[in-house]
Amino acid sequence: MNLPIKTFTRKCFLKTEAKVSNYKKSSRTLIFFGFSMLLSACSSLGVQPWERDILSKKEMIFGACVLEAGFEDHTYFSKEGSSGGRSFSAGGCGCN
Amino acid sequence: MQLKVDQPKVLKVGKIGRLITHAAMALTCTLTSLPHVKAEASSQTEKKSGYFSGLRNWADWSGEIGLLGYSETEGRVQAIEPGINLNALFDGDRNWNIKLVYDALTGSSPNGALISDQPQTFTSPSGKANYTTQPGDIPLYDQFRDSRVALSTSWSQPLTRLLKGNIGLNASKEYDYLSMGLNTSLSKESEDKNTTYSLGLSYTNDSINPVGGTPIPLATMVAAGLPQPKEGTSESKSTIDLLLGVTQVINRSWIVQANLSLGLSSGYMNDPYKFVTIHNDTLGPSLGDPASYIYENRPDSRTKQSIYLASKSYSKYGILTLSYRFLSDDWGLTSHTLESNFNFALNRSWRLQPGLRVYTQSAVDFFRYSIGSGEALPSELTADTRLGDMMAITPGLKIIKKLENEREISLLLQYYMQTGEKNPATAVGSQIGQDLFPDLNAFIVHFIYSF
Repeated sequence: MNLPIKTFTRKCFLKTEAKVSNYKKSSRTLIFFGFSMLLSACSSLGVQPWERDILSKKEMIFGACVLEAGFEDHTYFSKEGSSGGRSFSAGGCGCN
Repeated sequence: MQLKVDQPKVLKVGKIGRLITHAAMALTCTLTSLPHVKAEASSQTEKKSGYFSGLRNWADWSGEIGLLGYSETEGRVQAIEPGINLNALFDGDRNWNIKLVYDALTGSSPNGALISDQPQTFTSPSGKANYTTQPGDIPLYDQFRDSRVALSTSWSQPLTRLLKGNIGLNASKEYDYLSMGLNTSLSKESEDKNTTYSLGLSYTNDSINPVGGTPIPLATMVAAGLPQPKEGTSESKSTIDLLLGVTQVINRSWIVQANLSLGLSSGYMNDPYKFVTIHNDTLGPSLGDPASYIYENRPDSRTKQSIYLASKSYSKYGILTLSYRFLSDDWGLTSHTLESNFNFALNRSWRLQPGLRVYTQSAVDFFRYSIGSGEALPSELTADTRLGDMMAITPGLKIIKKLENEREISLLLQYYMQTGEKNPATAVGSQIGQDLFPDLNAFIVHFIYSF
């Protein structure tokens, strides 16, 4: 009686494993690509102190909008299985 | 300036927690006892007069006042979250920050059970009442009410010419949940100030007091009024996060950031209000119908690691922000998050910022839509779709009005659309054709005044 369910279950698990495996492969490629970009970028020279006019604009500063980032983190923490990355991930709420 | 650090009275910290607490206290003392280190970019506070002149002259103040509105369609969760964030900048580039957020939630929250073509009756968390979900409707607990207050504060200052230290405390309280934590970080700039390295450590301890008591994991739901399968009234969870980051200026109009983070959690991770449906797996007309419901059970530890890459680039057309996060954990969850927005000027005082966020997630190993009545129960099991295979897209538009003295008002409008596998291969009998992963759609509004 349980046979059809076991077959379904096995298929589901195999599908999930294949999906996770694909995720891992694509993730490794993306991380490698990201690091390569970053390393090549780091070899550039940066700027002199008097060339920081654009970089000092609010829109060019990482994490300048604290409240907005907090609102976003709280919303996505409540609805998804991931959190953190941009800053600390400890959610500190029993979100529904 | 002395930062007062109160030892939380209700904090249940383990050995690691105590060590971190002591380390953080020591760093606070170090920070506050150091002689002023004159930063190169020291800002001279302009002396002001008028109301609150003493307060104004005490430091150079900046901050934000904002409101989050969150409204899920079909009468599900609604939230209003006002918040304030204040920064006081003192001579010597020393900075004090305080943030207070209040969160009021109401509406209906999914209880984890599967949609069915049969009416379904559930016991409320308190164990004192029943509620019934009609055939074809999402099983929701519609008496969901909660409010939350979150307070955080931090102090940062230069430790040497290129090294900066930060220490922070945070606490949040809701009816059944108390979270308290502390964090510390160090950031070091390169000699030319084009590269910033940062190292952060955070410890959080959460106390959970589920309404009606803690459900016995995997115990079967019992009708209201009868003795409930609950054990104890208080649970706890602790989390340690480690963050390594680097920010690099590429050229005059391009800056990038990369973070590596590791999160270690241990303790009570279950959602005490979530059920898993046990479906009838006997061949016949009732195949797939709900037979009973059990409380979920998740592992008591979780290790997460993530990489976060971000870029901001300026062109004559506007500013492009891109970020990507890859996250995986030992529960089997893997996620990708891509965010982008483009900020451009309409005229001297108005700016627009369209944006898009795309999120995909693979399910944790112990996620099941439901489980057959003839199957052996696994030791860990959840039907919480937040841990299932899913994808979410959030388009948004931010409208910004620039005011005098670097003040601005912004209105961000977003629409969150979450979707998953509605007809999984595991569906049997009456489950086939039902929407087993109902879409979640929500309007999100941020209104922020920054000064």
